[in-house]
Amino acid sequence: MFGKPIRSNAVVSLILLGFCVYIIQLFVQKDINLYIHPRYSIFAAVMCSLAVVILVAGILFDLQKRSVANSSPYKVQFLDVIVVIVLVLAFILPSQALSSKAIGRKSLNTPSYETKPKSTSVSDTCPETKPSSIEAWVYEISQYPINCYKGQSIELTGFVFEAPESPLPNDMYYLGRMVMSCCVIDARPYALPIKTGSFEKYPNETWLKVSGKLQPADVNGSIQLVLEPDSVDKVNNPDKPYDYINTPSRSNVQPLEPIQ
Amino acid sequence: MTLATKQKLKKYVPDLAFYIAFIGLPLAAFVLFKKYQYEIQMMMLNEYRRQEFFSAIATTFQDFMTLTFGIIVEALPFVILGVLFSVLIQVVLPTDKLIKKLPKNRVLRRITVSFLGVAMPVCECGNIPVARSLMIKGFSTQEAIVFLLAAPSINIITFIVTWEAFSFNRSVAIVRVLATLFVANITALLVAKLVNKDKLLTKEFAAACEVDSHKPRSLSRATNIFRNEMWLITRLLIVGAMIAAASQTFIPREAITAITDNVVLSVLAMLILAFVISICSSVDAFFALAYVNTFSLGSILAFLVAGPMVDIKMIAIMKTTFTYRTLAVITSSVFMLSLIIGVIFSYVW
Repeated sequence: MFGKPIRSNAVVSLILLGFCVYIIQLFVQKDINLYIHPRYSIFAAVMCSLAVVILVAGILFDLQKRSVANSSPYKVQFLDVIVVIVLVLAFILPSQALSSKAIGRKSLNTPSYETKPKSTSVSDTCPETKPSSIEAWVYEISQYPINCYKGQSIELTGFVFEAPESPLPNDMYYLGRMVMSCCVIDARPYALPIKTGSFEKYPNETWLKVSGKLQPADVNGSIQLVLEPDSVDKVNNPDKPYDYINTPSRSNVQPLEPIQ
Repeated sequence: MTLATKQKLKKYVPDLAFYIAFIGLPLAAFVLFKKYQYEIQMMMLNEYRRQEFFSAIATTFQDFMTLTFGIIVEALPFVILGVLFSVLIQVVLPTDKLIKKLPKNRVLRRITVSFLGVAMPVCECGNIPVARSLMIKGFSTQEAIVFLLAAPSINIITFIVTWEAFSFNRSVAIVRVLATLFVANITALLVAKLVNKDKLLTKEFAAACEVDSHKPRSLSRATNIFRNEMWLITRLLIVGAMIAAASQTFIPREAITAITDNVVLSVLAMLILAFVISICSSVDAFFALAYVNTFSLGSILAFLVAGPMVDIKMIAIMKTTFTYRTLAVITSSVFMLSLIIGVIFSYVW
């Protein structure tokens, strides 16, 4: 098989068509956002459709000129076999989000007070609004003094997970989401610590909807804001497991509640 | 050893060494073995353990493929856009005439080439076909390297995104552009000094450069170029994606970003992260933002400057055009210069 010349042009076109069709299929089946940020979805579909048109036109030109038979000899290399295997796997394997094992390998983003921010200074004044997504909460909480968000009510949907590198006391667990800024390779978990309180402690990877209030609590010797839940509901695994970072315009924000 | 086998070895060894060294197979095997040492021993004895072991392997493999597909789905559209530009340059636009219109003065010419990327809204992997076609049409290798290294970071989209992401210190966006221009130009100079002229480009590509000149402008030629360039880049993109995915699956990220108070080490950590993670230049600012609380702005600047120039995926794709020697000079120069810039700005900011 190796080193043997084949009629390459048509074969090459077909393999490339395969990859384009794979991406278009992801777009049509709405699975594409398991791999990339929504802001690229349409761009990806349009580019791949364009490529399909040009590649098909190329095949037609070749057929018309009967140049297929005398296209230059091409030696199949090991690399080409890998490419074909990846293409076949792309169609065979189901589209999936990353497993919890992969999440464990990524460093957790959670509000941190222990490491002093090196390049951003903690603001002295409080903001007038509060964020609505987990990643925004994680970012904002470490930007402002604890008193700013103390007592604020907050509702989160995410899944339970463990973070061995930043462990919590026994009566707390992390609730978080994977957050993508470009594509799945840069997805990272963002999470807030939740008090178990009087509620059941769910196993890892359970999706929960938790609402409650942020209160300061002792986490391994430092005072942090922790969510004390008023209600904890189990929810189904969502269709869109990822959150996506958007331009940091504070569009999705709600006004802060007055603190009693 | 006969001469024939020697020649054969000479032909295959660099390629093989490249893939094996980069995939880090030995490393992956070692990490896997260490990780599953107990399981491997128990597997021989226990049915339940055996099943657990195989399901762990299956999940790891699935994650590896998910990451690979992630990079492909993200980068392929940009490759298509880049190849379309490259077809435009080679077949549609009167590129020869435009290149002749560039300033004759060396410095002015270099400055013009440096800023060519401003209007090229393509991520780094899409820029390779563009740079290739510019070389075919008469760019010198040096000019192509300046364009290739600078364009992804200085194009207008990347600038706006960086400007937005670092709204608390907008000078990051401006310094990023300046640092990128500096590193790109110095690197091109170093390549010219350190690599022989006839050893800059791969033989296949050097041959392609000579053959061109005045071929007819036809649709069928355009589709031909499109297919050939797509194929060249896509094959290596896939390998690059697999290597990047493997390094993410097997090397825990904390191993790279373990917080350190040493300035040089933290810049180095961000540089290695940039090399391993292989994300697109147009959005890497958001990714870097997540490290603002734990790393100095200087090391984040190093990440933003070096990331779009060299990473695992890019080196695989650049292999289509440049020799290993050229690649080695580019990689080490970009690393050293970014390291220096990162350390200096860690103290400035």
